[in-house]
Amino acid sequence: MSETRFLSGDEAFAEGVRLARPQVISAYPITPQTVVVERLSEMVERGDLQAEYLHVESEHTALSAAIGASAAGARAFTATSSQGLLYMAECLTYAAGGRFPIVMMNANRSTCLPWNIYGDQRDSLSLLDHGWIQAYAKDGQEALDLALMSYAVAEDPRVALPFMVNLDGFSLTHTYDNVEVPDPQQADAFLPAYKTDNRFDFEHPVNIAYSAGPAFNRYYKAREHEDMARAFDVIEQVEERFADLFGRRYTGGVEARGCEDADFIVVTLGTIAGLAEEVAAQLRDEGVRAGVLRIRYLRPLPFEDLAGALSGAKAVGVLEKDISFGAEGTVFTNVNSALYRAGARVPTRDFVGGLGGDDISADQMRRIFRALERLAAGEELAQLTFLGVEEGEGR
Amino acid sequence: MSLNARTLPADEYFFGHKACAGCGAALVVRHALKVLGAHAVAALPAGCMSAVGFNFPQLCFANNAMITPFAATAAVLCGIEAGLRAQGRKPKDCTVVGFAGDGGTADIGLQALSGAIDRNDDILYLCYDNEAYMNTGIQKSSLTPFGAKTTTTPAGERAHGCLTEKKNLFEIVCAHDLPYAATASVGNLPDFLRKMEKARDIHGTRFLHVMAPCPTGWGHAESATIDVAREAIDCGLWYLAEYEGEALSGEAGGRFTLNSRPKAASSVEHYLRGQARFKALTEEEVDRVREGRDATWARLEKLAAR
Amino acid sequence: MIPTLRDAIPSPREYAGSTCYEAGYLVEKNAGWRQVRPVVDTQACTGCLQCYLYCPDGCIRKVDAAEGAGSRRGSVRVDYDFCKGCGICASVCKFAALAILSEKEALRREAAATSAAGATPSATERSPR
Repeated sequence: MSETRFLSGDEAFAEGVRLARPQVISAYPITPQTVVVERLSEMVERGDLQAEYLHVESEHTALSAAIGASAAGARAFTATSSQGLLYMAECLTYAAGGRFPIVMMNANRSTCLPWNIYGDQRDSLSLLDHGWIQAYAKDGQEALDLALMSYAVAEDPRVALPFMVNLDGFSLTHTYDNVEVPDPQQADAFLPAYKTDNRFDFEHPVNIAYSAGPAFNRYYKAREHEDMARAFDVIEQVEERFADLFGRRYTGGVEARGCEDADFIVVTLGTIAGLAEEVAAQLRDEGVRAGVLRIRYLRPLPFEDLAGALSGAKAVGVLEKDISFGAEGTVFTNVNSALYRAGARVPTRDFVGGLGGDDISADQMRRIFRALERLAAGEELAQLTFLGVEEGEGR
Repeated sequence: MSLNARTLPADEYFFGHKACAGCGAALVVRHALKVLGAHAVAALPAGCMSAVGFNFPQLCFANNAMITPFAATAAVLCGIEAGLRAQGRKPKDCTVVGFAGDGGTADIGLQALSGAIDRNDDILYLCYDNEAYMNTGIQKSSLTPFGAKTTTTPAGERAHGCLTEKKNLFEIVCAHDLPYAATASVGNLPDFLRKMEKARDIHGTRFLHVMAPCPTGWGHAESATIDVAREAIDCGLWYLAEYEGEALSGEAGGRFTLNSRPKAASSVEHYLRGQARFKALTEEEVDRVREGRDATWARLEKLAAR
Repeated sequence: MIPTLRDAIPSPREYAGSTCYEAGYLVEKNAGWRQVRPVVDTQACTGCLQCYLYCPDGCIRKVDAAEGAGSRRGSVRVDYDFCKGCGICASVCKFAALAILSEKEALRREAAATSAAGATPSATERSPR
């Protein structure tokens, strides 16, 4: 029987990891992820989780050890955030190119400089290109559920790619909610043991993680891309099975609230979608057809789902907690690409907020929707707006 | 068992590779795997041996092997070992072994090595020391000896080669009080084979530091690799030693044993002049190398006498 | 157990889904590297096996006494597909049983020996490829 517990986002995720039965955990502390590895060490100590728990001496080692464990055929887990994620970045492309289905939890946190330990999404969004599936959780329940679903997707032989589950730093990792924790039998029924040919074998030895020069390299990379792009088929099947077993249904690449007939849609990631939905609901009461599209998976990019949800709107605003300096927000770039491919002529604008843990208020959210209304009515609106910074302020 | 040419298995686990003719490091890997056997699982970082050993589709390891990120030899080894054991899939005669160069060990790999020793991971870490970053074309590492010309310590007017001394990697590792560590060389294969066998049968973190001359980088004939390695031992610029940790030796602070001593008849100058990388050294600089050797041996004798 | 030369280079469908492939899979010889080759004098060879021990490429094979001509203790043979001609074997041989010959000279002698002896293969090894 499942039980309901009052848990923080980090704790909920740790429970999900326990149920996923990783065989090797490499642990290194970094705020605001640390609670995950702390809880896991307690579970291992109590005997609730049978895993080799490695106290590694850096994040680079954390992911490298997970790669070694995966090459040995074991289910591996690690967690990090921000500077730690960037420190292990060379290992991200290694794990993905090696097709090791490692699951890593990333607590979305700002990146230096200036130093800042609070939540924004600059860390993971700056690393979209390395071949990891990237999903963004909205609440503690989804976080726990993604801990299980991520392994099911990653380990599917049609996918065979590592999976990064992102939880907003502090606003999800450290906030508490009632979460349904499945029992281990249910979890085992959903997620069987990891089986693969991509591992050491003493009967038929293999050479793994080798070099491949110009004559061969492109075949690996094209295949990696195609397998990632087709992962939505697997994600759909995994979510179907999850719904059957646990009664919670997830919606693939995007989660749309009120987008079918919306004139003005805010597209966003993670927990801030909750505030967007509240404000959109109020606006609906006021006669404004407002909608919210939460991107759940940014890699692979759900081109069709994005275009399908957004192309009927009069104006779309992307609200994201990152910036690609000198260009625009990364989510904005991705959304525009999806719309352009579909031939959709919806005006879009980028709203960059929440940087360095800055709060986004209901008032600011309302003003974003209002700005979209004005845009649709023919007014000029800057392509990119930094929330809470007046133009030229700070110079 | 005494391992020699007759008793070593005829298997060749490292074969068909693209190492330079006369490569000392290739000989190290070849024999290490003969001692460890078919169930060895090897991990190699970026470096000569991985670059020459697995370039698809020429895959030169007959046993399970993988390439690791450059800094991560020890990290990947610990993950492999934990992963095999967690699945109950580690054969009794399986050694998880790393083969990393001097750059990959004493420089970029030192942190992960230290971490592995701290955890006492059940791995065997072997550093093949050709005294520079050879794979990238002969650049200085912290194990490049004083006076050696490399592409980043060129011999010119003001400097005649590397200006720093070799880092005391062996002693740094021993200061961690790991179960077993040793230095060895292709210039004394029986000693190397004995140490490999001893290390194989110990559990916990084991470290071997093996001198492996490089004809290409050191500037000597391809056929002279073994002679050069022998001469390094004989003139005392390389020492053969072992460290048995407190647990193994029962001695506080562990036990150092010296397995070689410089031979009076052997000449530092002759050794240095036999390699093009030392060509620019003056008499004074050769003296400095000789004095450095004497100081090292004074220190080693003290350690061995404790 | 030893890596061996294969007939085919795999197709992308077989390999491109991971960086994990059969160990010991070789597609190329290294013979083209060398300028000189070691030639074993089986009469002088005492079977001490030092050349076998010190070859960095592992391409000197132990040969049993029954196979080796004229030696009580067996001898060695060189795998010329993979010998790079470094000459370490000759440098460690204490019995002058390994001669280092230029490729040209070695092939000339081999051709002469072959035509003298009929079609009998000599102590050298040849791969059909």
